[in-house]
Amino acid sequence: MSTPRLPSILPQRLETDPDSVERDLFKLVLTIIELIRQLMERQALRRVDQGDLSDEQVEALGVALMRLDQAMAELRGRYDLSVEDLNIDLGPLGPLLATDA
Amino acid sequence: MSEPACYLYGISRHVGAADLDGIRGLGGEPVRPVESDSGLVGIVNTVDLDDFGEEALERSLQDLTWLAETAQTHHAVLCDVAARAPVAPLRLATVCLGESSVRARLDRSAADLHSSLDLISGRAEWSVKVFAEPPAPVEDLAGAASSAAPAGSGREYLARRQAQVSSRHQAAERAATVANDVYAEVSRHSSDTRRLAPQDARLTGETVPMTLNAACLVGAEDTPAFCAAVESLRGRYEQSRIEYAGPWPAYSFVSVGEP
Repeated sequence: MSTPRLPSILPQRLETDPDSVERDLFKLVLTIIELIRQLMERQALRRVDQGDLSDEQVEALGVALMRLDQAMAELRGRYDLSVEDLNIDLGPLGPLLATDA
Repeated sequence: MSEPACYLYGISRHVGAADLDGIRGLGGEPVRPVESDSGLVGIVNTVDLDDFGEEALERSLQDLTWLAETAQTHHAVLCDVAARAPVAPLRLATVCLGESSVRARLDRSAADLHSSLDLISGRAEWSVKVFAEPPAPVEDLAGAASSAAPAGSGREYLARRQAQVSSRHQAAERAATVANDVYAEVSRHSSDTRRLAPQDARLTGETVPMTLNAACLVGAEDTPAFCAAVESLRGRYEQSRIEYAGPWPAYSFVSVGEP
């Protein structure tokens, strides 16, 4: 007997067929990169606010983060993933990734 | 098996078999009262232990179709009963092994149940939900520009991100203020209120987060004023969607010492 599934309500389980394993692994790697990207960006914005960086440094930092952002968008596009897809619900601790960054 | 199992919907007082006439519960079985010595009445119907025994329940509760149907029946029965007498709803799938076990359960928490019934008599539960304002369209444009056009300096990119972050922070603060204000306002027209955990976006199917999920216990005579208050809040906060629904059985206001 098959039970109908409501995938939008229940968190996805890790399926074990080869295609989805690859996609899920890719997703997990992107999640980690996105976490680091967000931390770097936050730190960069803080440093710029403090005003102790030279104009060249601010410019270089901005370009680097912008490229990283673009690269992430491109990688996500490969498996048709959105930023929300990368987030992991940590239950009482809330989501892993900030939704405001 | 000497006695069949009883599925317990809720607990009431001064309810006889005639009051429950015509209400059908799970499996189409008639819903009937089980009276206890403490003056409480359990609202039950007979169920098969093959379907509602401990092991079978554990299996069935994983089955979303079964869960949805059972929850609908549970709710429909409670609404029918609530229309005739005050009833303290129990949570889904409360099963007792026979009428004697129902009575024992009622007697065990008689004091709690009587005070719960005193509280909810003549009152019904209403739900008030507030959703955050949709994000300002300006941010979307900035986001699209950053991914589509590689042009623009690093400094501009950082400034744009900074603006996005601070405008989202402001939006979050404003959403919290609206939620608190709505809660305070509806509390003035309710006998009791509970602030439940906001539902996950996956359940609501909304793109904006829920910021308030309140349960309000509203007296029948206060209902028009309560509804008018919510309507006026809707006018005051046009950008935030405010939903309200009721009257429901008082699910959120009955605390029974359950095992």
